[in-house]
Amino acid sequence: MMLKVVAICGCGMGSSVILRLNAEKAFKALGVEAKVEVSDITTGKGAAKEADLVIIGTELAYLIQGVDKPVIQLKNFVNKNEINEKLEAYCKSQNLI
Amino acid sequence: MDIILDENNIELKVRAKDWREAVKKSGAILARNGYVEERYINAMVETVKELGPYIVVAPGLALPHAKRSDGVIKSGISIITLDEPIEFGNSANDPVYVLIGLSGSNDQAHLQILQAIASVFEDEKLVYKIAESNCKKEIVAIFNGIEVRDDA
Repeated sequence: MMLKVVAICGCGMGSSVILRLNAEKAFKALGVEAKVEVSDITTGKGAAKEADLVIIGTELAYLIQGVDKPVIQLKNFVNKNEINEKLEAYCKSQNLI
Repeated sequence: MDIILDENNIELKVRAKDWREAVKKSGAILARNGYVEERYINAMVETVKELGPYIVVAPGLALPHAKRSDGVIKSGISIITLDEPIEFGNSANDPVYVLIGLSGSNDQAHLQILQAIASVFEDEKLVYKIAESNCKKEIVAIFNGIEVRDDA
């Protein structure tokens, strides 16, 4: 099963792209097949509803309030440890690894 | 890969009285060097006003930017370091020492730029090294020396 993931930021061109790059690397390292897309705030809520998992910066998490999907919030977008640990915990919780 | 940064896009130890002025100064370099239209500068400030200080993506580091439709001409970055760090209101990552103004045209160059940023700042100490640097060449070397995989 291919995991559908959406990374969301304000404009869909800055921090969400960094999140996507790091998430792709993390999933690859975990051996989990995932398709990571980016989205901005105008399309983010809709995209989140279609996804299995949402990745978003802590400061923007309020934008997807009410979306009934697992959400990973990140404080530091370039710290590999934070995203790796949180994605690994998610994959374990879903019995993907 | 292409060179993503040259010395004309860097200003060191910039004085700014608050985050707005700092963001505008990072945008002014992008406008001066032909990456964005003038209106993009205000859009960068408005993005933070509307959405909050999420552009402070790591301790000490802000990535001010706006949307492509706000006047992007071509992909590029500017770098300013601050003579005094500034609070953006991001509890996890304040204060900011370095701003990287982003102009993104949704192309390969933009992707390479973001990959380089992600790779450079994987080492958390580098933001402070850049903040303390008095040498633009050193900063150019840090960015252009990063290996970026084409398959990512």
